Amino acid sequence: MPQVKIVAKNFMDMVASLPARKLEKLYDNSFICEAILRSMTPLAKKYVIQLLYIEEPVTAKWFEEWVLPDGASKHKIAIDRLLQLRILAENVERKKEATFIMNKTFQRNLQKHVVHGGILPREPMPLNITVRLPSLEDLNAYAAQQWESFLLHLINSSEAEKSTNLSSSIMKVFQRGLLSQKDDKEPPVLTERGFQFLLMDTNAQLWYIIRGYINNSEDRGVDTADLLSFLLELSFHVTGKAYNLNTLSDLQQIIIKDLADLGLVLLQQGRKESWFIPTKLATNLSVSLAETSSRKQGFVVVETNFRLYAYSSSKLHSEILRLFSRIEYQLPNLTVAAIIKESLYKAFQNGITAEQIISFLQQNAHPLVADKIPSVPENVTDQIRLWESDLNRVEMTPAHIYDGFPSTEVFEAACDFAREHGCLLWENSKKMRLVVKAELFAQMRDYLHKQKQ
Amino acid sequence: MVSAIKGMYISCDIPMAQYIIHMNNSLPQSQRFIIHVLDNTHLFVRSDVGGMIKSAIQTFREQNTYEKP
Repeated sequence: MPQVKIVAKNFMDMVASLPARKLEKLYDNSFICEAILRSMTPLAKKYVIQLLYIEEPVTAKWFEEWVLPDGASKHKIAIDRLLQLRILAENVERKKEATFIMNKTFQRNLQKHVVHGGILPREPMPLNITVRLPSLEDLNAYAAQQWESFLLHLINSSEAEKSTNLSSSIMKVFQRGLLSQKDDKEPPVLTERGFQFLLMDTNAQLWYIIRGYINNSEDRGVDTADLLSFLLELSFHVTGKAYNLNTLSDLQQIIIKDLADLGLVLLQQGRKESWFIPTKLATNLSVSLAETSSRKQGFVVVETNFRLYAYSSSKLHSEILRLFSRIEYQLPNLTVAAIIKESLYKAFQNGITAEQIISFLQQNAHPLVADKIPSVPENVTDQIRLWESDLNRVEMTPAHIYDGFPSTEVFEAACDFAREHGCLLWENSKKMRLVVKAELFAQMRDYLHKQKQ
Repeated sequence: MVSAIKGMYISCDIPMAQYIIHMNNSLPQSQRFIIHVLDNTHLFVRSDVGGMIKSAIQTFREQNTYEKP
């Protein structure tokens, strides 16, 4: 039984946004049909399965009869989703009512899948060729290490100590949102989003990179549909089993090389053959974003005296802590840091918000404190939020002040007009003064002209 | 006849408002930027002084902090 539970909603949104022609190609792959089926709401699933063997169009009225009256909104959502994914096509004829007919390709492939069961286009390789397969722990360690070096590359791009063997397509994903380069001589600097990216959960980070990679694919001449279908297929593979590289098309081989840099697959070479082994990161591609990865071991203990103890030897973790705290001591397996106002101000200036820092600390709480409620002491979280709001004590809005109203009625009318548009900032009925946001200026002027007449 | 003046609406807490008023009064007449004091937490000032107010508040705040060397 593959480990896929629910395909992330974002994958589905991406699939739904593809043009009709590409969707047809996508539905030729029965794994994608299954993945899409699993990602739907229970009602939509029921509709698809019920229509699976019906060849003729079904009237919309029939559909409505299957639902109780209070399920009307869920029914509408399900039907909209199916129309969006082009699984259902609507036929509106003038005299007869609206009918729905299922997409033929999708139907055929799903029927085949139901009857034959899912067979991957490739089998794991026999053990006599792949003599020593890495164990699951080794595989996880490899994936973690690759991902870490990838993130470290992001942080230390100014130092550029590691050889830049990341493919150019991945670098482009960076440059688009996370790094910014002022000019070619200066090293690239992390943007605000780059900092926020570092503090996100691993699954969310993985998703961001994959999304950017898919969006970039059009520019590089790779078909988005092919890329999506290959990624979905990959998520159905079994972690830890080797698959021969020569079962992949040329395009897929290029993609596999990129994914190996990210730590999603491990490439190995035997004497004659070479193969790839998917890691947990690849099969996690299909896990819904909503399920947080509580598999990772936390490593941070925050004390009420604003001290941080990070039981980790990873360079990435100490770099991340350096973003918002002052490192006091660094030992082989422990980093001691202190959260102080200046370090937090530096973080806020870089665009990190207090909520992100707090959620990072909470998600990575050491198992010893993770069970306590709250895992990060409240005085620390409150103080972080207070320091953040201290930076924004003054709120400024461009506006206009209106004075000299001839009578109270005109004043009240102008007040109501501004309030309806949500632009009323301040009023004083005694002195008959009004402050309205600048964006409403032209409309206020016209309104007051009309009032004069 | 209704008249409209363009400017910036500032909303803050009472100590900050007092600080901005003090800053305004210490400037020579030609550079003063407060158009109206609306009440003790709101002010109406000239549009271009936003950046200057922010940096002045930041210097004021930094004067009150101490960092262990």
